[in-house]
Amino acid sequence: MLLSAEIILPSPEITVLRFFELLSSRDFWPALGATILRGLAGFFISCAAGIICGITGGLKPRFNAFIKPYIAIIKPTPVMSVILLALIWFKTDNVPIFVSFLIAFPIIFSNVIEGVSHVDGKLIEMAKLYGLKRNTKLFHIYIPSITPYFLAGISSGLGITWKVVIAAEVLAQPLHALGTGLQAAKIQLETAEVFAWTGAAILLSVVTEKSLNSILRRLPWRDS
Amino acid sequence: MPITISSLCKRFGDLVVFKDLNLTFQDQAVTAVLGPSGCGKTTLLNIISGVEDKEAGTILGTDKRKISYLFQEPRLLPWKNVYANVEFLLLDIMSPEERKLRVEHFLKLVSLNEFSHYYPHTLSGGMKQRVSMARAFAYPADILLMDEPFQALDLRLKIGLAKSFNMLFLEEERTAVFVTHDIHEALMLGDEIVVFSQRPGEVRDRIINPVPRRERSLSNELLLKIEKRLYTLLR
Repeated sequence: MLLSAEIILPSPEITVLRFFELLSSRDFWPALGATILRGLAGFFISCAAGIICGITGGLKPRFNAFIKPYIAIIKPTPVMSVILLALIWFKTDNVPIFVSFLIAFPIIFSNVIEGVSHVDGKLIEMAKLYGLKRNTKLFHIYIPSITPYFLAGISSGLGITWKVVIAAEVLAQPLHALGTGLQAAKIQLETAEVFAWTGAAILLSVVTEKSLNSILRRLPWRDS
Repeated sequence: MPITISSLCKRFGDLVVFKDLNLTFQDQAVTAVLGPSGCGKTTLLNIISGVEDKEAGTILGTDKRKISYLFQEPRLLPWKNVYANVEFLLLDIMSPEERKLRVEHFLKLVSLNEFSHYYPHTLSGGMKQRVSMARAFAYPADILLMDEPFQALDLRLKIGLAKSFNMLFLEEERTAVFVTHDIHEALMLGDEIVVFSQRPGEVRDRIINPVPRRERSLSNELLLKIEKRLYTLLR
């Protein structure tokens, strides 16, 4: 009786105990490291592509018209469909990277586009009147104007990245992965361990979000 | 070299802004173009700077000469501090050492050297406009175009800014064209005051300011007399 109750909802004591056991286990740290690497890899690719495509799209309407339909298709596609297709196309280790790119890129892209549309036209006019060089305009007017929008995009993009990376890992089963550990615990009906892995995933997400927000708050020109 | 405008015509559709405008802006002096709203003052500046095309007429004395600008708003970059805002326009044209000397010099002239690390959102409206003036003068140019730069401020601030402007101008004399509908601004800054009529803009009168720049104040007897005359002209 007690046993079956622990399967459905383990007591907090057992969960905490398992969590610390997990931290000291041989598998945990390589799994966490590999998940972080995959998430960051997918995320950096998304950021780079999002900035380049976002700025180009914001300044060149023809490029925007070209890329918009693709984004419009990617956005509503179920994450599971993306994962399953990626499983067919890629090596297991790369599946989470590809999936996180497809999920995070549209978010970063939309935020950068939004940022470009909010660049103060009067500053651009001034730069033109004074004949400033293109790079000076880009690095001193466009990029700083876009930065708050970009960081907001990063913040929401990174939060969702961890979720989809772990989901993709559950299905792809790479050798070292949070998702793999989660799935193994579930198969063995080790509910407390499922919670423990989940706790680790939550911590990962919270820590990255908090550190990003503290960067966002430190931008010197922000009013409040 | 003075800027000479001859037989200038400009229309926006059916709206005739200038029919046959002839006007000279003296070198190393401030010419205040004073006129009612909608008489084409801003259009005149835009034609001189080349932002707006003219329909007919000639403008001499602007070719290959550098122009700096003072706008209605300070147009500061919110992500740069006071120092970096003044430096910003010099990035493409000066070495870092030259920039440092110039920025510090001009910030001192507008008494903002102590505020060089402040960001625009922490400054008052008058301080922002002083940063913007320092920026316009720190940029090496022969011509200065100003579009009612003090219009949003109260009289006391305007007088303070006019004094700062006069300090800067004595340091760096330029061919300055200044459009405004504010008689006080015109009196404090203009070496010559050109009064425009309603649209189509024509010169109704030209008044040479008899008071030297250093001694101008709104309580000056001579300026008070001119003020009266300007009131009747603008009425």
